[in-house]
Amino acid sequence: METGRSLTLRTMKPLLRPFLLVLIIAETVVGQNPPLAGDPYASRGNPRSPDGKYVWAIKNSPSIEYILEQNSSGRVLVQVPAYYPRPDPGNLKYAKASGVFWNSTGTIVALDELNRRRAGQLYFFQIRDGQARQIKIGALVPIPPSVAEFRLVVDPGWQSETKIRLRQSVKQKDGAFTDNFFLADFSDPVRPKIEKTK
Amino acid sequence: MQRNLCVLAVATSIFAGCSEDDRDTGYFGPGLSPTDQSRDQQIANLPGQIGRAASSVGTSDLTVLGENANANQAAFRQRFGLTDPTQDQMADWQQYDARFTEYSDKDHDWPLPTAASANWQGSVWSNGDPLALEGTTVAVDFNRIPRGSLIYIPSLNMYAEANDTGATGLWSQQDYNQSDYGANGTGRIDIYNSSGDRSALQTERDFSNWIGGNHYGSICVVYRGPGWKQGGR
Repeated sequence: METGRSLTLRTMKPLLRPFLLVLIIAETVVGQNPPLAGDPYASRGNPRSPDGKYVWAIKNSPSIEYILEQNSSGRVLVQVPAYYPRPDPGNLKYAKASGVFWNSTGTIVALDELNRRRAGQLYFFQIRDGQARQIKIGALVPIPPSVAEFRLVVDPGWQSETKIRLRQSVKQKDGAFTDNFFLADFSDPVRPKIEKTK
Repeated sequence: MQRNLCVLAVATSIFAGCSEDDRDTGYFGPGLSPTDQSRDQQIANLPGQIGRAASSVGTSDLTVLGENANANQAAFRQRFGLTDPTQDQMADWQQYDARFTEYSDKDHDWPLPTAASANWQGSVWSNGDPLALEGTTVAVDFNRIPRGSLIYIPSLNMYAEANDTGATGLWSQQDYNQSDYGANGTGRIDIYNSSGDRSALQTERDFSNWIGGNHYGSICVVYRGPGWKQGGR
């Protein structure tokens, strides 16, 4: 005779796999840059830090910039020029389509501009003691030969407190496209590591 | 031949002491904005006016850009009264150095057209972006050519609307010492292709063969900014 618990397990088991699959797809869609479907200008991630102390905003004058502010005081920690800095509606729309990805503890944040055919930049910052420090990882990522254009994007996001998965989007000189995936490890933010992944 | 005509036109205006050339070149300098209204409002003898047709034009066959490229170019010309430029017009239009590259709907990082301004056909995706049209759409560096400008590519006998853009930071870095990013350069002219059944690789190969492996040429900026469309039907 089946107990209620075993009945529940038997009912739930076939549903578990599709449920997990939906979760994975949802995460991919949210983090994918550019988005695979829907509005490419929809913002991604969350501009506000997990503890609510900091927030990213976009400044439109005299040029378009991303700024990271302390929520309570308005003190600016970071100012980053937008890829298309000229202040016009088209460029502002592009800037607003950026993604902000905080790790769970709010110590590292990624600012990922919309990937418009390799346009846009990906920035990382360490937040500590009310100060922000940029972490540059570009030189750590190998560049394949015969590259015409490439850039790094967040894809789909943080895998743990210190590791974030990235996609290197490459257009070759012969017109072909390739994607390379990496895990950026910020366990030591002063010496971040890059490892290839699938 | 057409390119020679362009060069001849530039040479003629230089010998005539035409200061317009200097100002146009200066436009690309750091001190002037591509959205300068006086520039946007300036019309340089729009095509369609009466004149003697230039004796020879470029390839004219745009099929390599996609199945509907020729039809789109024809419809574009009809709608805005564009014709093959006359020799007089060619002499009036400022010539700029450019590098011709291609992009297509097979681009992994362009699943949705993220173009920048309204398309001449007025057809848009649900997000408000214009559809790219093979035969009339090009992506440019808006720091060099104002958004929505009308350009003419003599070697291809092609009018195009500069309403899309791309990784312009990379373009300017990579072409830093090349003519397209020189003092008389408009930067890259990234020509849109509808690949159809072709792969991205094949599309690039077809494009390179089509332009004869020579990615460097000249273009005319017929009208700066989107104002030229106001006269269209």
